[in-house]
Amino acid sequence: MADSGWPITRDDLLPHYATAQGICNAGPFIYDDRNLAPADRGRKIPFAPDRLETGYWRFSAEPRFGSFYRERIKGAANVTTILHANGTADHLDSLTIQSLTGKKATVRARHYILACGGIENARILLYSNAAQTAGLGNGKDMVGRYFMDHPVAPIATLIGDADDKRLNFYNLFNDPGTQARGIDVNLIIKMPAAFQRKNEILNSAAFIVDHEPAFSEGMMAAVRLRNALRQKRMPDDLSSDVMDVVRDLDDVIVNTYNCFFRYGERRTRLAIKIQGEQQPNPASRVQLSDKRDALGLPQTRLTWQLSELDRKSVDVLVLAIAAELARLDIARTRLDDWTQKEAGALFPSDLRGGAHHTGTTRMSASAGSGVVDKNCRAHSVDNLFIAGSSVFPTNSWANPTLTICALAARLAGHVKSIL
Amino acid sequence: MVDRRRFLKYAAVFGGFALSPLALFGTLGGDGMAGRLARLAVNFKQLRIFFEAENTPANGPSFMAGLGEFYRAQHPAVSPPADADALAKAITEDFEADRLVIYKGWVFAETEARLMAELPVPARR
Repeated sequence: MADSGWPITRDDLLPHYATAQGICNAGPFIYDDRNLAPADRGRKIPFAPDRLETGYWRFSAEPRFGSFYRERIKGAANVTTILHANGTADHLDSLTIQSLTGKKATVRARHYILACGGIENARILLYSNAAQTAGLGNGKDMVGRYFMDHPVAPIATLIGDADDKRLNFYNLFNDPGTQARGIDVNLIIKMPAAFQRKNEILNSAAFIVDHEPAFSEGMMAAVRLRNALRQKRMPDDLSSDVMDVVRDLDDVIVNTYNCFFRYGERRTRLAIKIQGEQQPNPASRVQLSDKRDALGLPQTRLTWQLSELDRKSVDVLVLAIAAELARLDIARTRLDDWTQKEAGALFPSDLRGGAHHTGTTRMSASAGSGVVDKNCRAHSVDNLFIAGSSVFPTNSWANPTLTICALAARLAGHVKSIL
Repeated sequence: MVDRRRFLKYAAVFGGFALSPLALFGTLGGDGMAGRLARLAVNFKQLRIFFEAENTPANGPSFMAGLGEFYRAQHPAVSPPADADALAKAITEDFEADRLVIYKGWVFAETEARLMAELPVPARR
């Protein structure tokens, strides 16, 4: 596939994944059947191994790094944290920071690490154009290009047998009875690498969800309030969340009832939801807008452009799932209307991304095909490193946080070695 | 091997089946379409989508006939195996080999569509 591939190998990153698991509070680095209690392993769907396989998703017990690490960072003797400091300068030897209230300062360092996210990393480089007119590190017009996210959408309805609990075992909202106490582990359905190669498709995955409308804003607010209560902290936006709950009270009541009384019980109607890999595409990009923010800096214009291959990949996946579930006599599948040829849609109109912004300062072996080298150093700026998902040259189907942290741990080791 | 419990279950299913939309198709003797579907359902109980009361678009005679016509339009000369065991084997092999027919979003084995193409003509209305 054009523009695919990393200049580092999995083995280069593997040692850092264990560190990343700790950073993420996600328990040990285990992504196989050991996630399940022995008695539960027989509940896995026996897919033909050359077509589909069960994967595991581990979710952090404490994903809010800001609150979790705050005290440790405050107490670290060799760390100075400056909040509300927006980088507004574009020199190679210093950084001007400015708050929204007008406070300004200059920071000088031997090395800088830009770690502001998959969109902001590109934006900051693009508007930092005094020393390099096309933007810092953008001599080859690569900054901002290859923006990727995960297409996430329901794609089919499953009609299964009420006695067969294997489908519900894969339900994203079910507790699969893991051994990883305190860690949410979910089962996903994915394709072996050989199957992807044979079909010339991307690495997409699917999970099973209740076949019900998407959560309303009120339900999402209720989940945020519940999480805050569990974590014994004040919600980030209490009044707004309460208002959302009141506005969508009917949906909140129905979903809460389902959470308490239906999960784990017999259900026959489920949906397949896909989370796709996106093909690297230079036309999918972050650019600067004519609009300015409160500091007078250019805002972002985002063009998220998906391709026929992105669509083909989820089609192959969902048909493989449909065929396997039918062959195993577990369920029959009806594809959603938007997938029909006559609908003429690449993806549904309400498609959303996974908020996994990647690719805009991609890692590459040469300056002509990316922005940073294998050590996350900008090809054309010796003292600038970039951390985060913006350095991903491909994005797989998986949530990026663990790989972001593994790359950060690797980068930290590298920077320490050159200081 | 079908145990007593399964036998009773399928007897009940096909008791309902006789009163279901498929009954509209007329001749459903033991050696006919119903017989073959009944035998098939031992292997593929999810074939219930065709005739259970659950409200799916697939469980109406026009849907089944439509599926058959859809397939027949593309493959006018092909007939499914007559023997139920051979049918079940063919369906399994279709799913293994991705010989699929997608009709109104539903994903079927090619042999299932061929089977529906065998439905009595009067039902196609």
